[in-house]
Amino acid sequence: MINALQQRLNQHWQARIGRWLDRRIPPARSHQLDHRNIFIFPSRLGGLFLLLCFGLFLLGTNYQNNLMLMLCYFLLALMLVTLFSSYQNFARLQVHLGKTQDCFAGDVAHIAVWLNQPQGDSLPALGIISMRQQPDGEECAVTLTPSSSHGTLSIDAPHRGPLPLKRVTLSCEYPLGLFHCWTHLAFDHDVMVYPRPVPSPVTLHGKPQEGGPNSSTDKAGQDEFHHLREYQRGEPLNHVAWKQVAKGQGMFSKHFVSEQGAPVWLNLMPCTTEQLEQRLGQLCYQIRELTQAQQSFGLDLGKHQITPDCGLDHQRRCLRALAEFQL
Amino acid sequence: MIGAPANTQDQLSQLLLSAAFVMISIGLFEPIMGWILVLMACAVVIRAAYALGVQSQTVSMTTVNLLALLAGLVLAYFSVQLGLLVAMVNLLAMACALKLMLMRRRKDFRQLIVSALFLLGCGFIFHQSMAMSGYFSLCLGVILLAMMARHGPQLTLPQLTGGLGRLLLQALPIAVLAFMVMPRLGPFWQMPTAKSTETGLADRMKPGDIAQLSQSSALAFRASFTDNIPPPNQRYWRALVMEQFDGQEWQIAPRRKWEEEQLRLQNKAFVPAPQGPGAAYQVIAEPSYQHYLFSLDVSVVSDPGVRKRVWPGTAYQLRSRDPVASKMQYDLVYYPQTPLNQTNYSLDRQLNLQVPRQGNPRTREWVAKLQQQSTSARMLIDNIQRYFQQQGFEYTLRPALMPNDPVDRFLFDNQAGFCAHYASALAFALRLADIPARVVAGYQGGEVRGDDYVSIYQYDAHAWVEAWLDDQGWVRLDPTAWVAPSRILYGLERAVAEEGTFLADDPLSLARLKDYAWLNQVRLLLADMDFLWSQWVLGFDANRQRDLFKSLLGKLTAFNLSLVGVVSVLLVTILLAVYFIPKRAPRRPLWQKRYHQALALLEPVWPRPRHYGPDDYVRHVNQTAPADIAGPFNQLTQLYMYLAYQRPSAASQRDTDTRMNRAYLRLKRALGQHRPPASAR
Repeated sequence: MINALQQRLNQHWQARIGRWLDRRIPPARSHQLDHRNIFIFPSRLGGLFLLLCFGLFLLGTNYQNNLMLMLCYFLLALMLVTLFSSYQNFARLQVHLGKTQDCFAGDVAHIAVWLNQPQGDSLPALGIISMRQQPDGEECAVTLTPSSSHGTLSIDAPHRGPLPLKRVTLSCEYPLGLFHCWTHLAFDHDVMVYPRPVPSPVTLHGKPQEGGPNSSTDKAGQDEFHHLREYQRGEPLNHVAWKQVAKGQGMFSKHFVSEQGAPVWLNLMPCTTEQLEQRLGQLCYQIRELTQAQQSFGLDLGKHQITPDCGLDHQRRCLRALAEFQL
Repeated sequence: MIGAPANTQDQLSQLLLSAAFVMISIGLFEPIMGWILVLMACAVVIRAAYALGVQSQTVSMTTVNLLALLAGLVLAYFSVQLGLLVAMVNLLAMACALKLMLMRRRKDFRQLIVSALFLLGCGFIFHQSMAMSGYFSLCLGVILLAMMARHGPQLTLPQLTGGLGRLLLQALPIAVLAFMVMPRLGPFWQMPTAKSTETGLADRMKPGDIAQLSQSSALAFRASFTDNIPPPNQRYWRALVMEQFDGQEWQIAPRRKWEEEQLRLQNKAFVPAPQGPGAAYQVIAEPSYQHYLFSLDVSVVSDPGVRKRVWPGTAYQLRSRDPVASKMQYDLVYYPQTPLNQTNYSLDRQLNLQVPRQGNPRTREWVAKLQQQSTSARMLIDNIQRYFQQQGFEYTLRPALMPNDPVDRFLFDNQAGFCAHYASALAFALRLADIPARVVAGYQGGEVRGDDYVSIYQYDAHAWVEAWLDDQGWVRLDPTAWVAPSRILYGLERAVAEEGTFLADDPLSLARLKDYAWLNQVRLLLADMDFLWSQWVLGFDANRQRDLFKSLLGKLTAFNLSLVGVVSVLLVTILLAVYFIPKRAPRRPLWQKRYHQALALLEPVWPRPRHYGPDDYVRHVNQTAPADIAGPFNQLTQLYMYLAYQRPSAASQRDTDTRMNRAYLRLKRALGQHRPPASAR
């Protein structure tokens, strides 16, 4: 009973803090650390240190020993100076989200967080930055170097859809470990978790299902040359118009059309709600297989359709559509 | 993080921490017991071997626990004889040694750092000299370095030292300010003091004791005078008054002790009524672990606050409430013209006519004969003085041993002795002649340094006699001066120059090497520094703080004192601002500024991909923007690139600056004209 209450209170409190943080440190791709997003408080060593200073003060006063008092004041002054210098050191950093890659459900997403040193002649930040995803992510310690350095966050991605990246806590205790400087950063990111691929035979259908908008009669295919288009990543190299490349006109690829009715469509339907995830996984597998085979295909998700095409960009588009389907 | 593989980061930090413990142990060599030092050495070796990778396994938890149990038992056994304070210091050192063996987690490191700092603080209980303070500061530096090495693993040792040095230099002025301004409080409660070997004069005096003390060149105390320093033959520093004689040795009379205890319980201090002009002076006593203090005759404790620590005794001597365990500073006023006749005569007389029933028969006979020849006390004293002078008595640091009837042997057989022999013989003789007399032990003379202060060393220890003469009260008689006047005027060194026994047991003492001028200069310089250190650092108490504020502010009103507080906080703020407010970035030259302004104007309309350099961007603008915009921007870019990459002369730069300004203005105007279509894009 009390436990439950405590849990409720805790949740409520967490939610409040979360809202406050969202206002104070809104998500961004890159953060310059400064007084708006840095928190600072004596670390455990700092607390012990203060206790020690109090002890020294008592002892020094009782023994009327000026040197002990001097030591006490000196340590306190050092702590004061360290307060500023640890803030200043931490505030030199600029934190960027690195290049991200989509992943499949059940995988671990690796996200690089870059710690950039300030430009120009100002001193570089020093020390160890420990990085952790809230609330119970794995800790990753980064030793700063004079140029930029990076740490990798490993995030479990159990479900399809946009990757849930919670706030990332960065902390540093340089120079003396007396103060704990930290920040909770939220990152704008577009990492998508695709459904987990389920191996299945590739089944292509002739045309999109009824009810969908009918597209043009020309379907990308293998059979007849149709037109030239600027080359895109992932397109088969045997489609490249090498004549144009040799003339120095740029890289183009030839596009062919197949006869109408040739099976180029991957269909989601029919499938029941229970089968949905299974079916999405199968489609995911098939899309990868087709892309690897450099074959054109279109994706039909009922209301949403992607016209047949090929290449890595097309694959990405399709997989994203699967990931976000009915979320 | 300190776990199994010792990475380089922790390696340095662990080595530094070990080094710090070695240094602290050396500094605390005296109070820490030998076997704990051995334990510490083992711990340091284990830790260093582990950090350097020589050894891959640390000691197991069980071993250390067992060791802790054993060590704890041994320490408990010794603790009674050590006393609370030293036992605690030993316990802390022992715990540190064991923890150092076992250091695994971050928590262990934290505890070790804080314990090391606390041990360091305790070191100041035992040592307060300037040299030792410097040494302990070095230890502090090493501990802080270990902390920094742990949190800044990318730094090399010189870089660490530089970084830490900066922090320390920044903290120092703030610490000094706090030291001067923070209010000085009295002790909150009684603390255990270190039991240590007592130095200096002893409570009881056998003839020969002082001769031994004279072999030490250690400092006994210093005195600084606001006015002139009294001449050497007036500098008799009274420390102990001994009124009980058993035929062999002199000691403080138990009756006197009891009497003073009573007065003290009633809080009735004996303050002699001064006569004549007074001279203020200040004494800084070195730790002697005894109660007696030093004063000239007759000195009055003027400040009732000081009387809590310095209790004036009824024999005109001063006693400290606690044993003097660290340097002790007190202010006195010296009235040389005050007669010593203000005490309870009946008690003085009763105590000071006491002689042992038997012993020293020849002296008794001799005094009886002298008594018949003399009509007054004065005459008797003169006769004794004449005896000393005519019989060819010698002043020596190496008197023969006189186990039985020492006064007889000294007066009639050996006729050579040190001040204690003379004092003892004279006081005994006077008591036999019915003149109250006692022995005063203290110091005489001292080394004068400039007009500032006198340093009194252990070899200045002296003993003399006080006799009660009815018309004057207690009168000082110094039989040593009758025999060896140079002892009083020039000090011990001159007096025993022929004998060559000055500091004979202490051949390396700087004081013995006074003949080498430069060495003597060094010695005196060190003495000066030590004096300033004692006066301004060790002796900076509430009084001195008040004096400092008075000299700064004139009067000490509440307003002025709060002003001190406000100003100090302000000062600290200013210091921090100077340290930490970032220096303003150097201003961009005009040509850079103009180009970036132009970019800021264009970019919202013709977005610039990140990888576009100036050349790429101007081409992009040329292709997409109308000519009246592209033209000026083209010119701006050309000039910008010319200035950035060709480093023109100063004259041509001024010319290009004006051209850039003009181009920028044209660009701005053109953009203004295109505003509606531009915003439509």
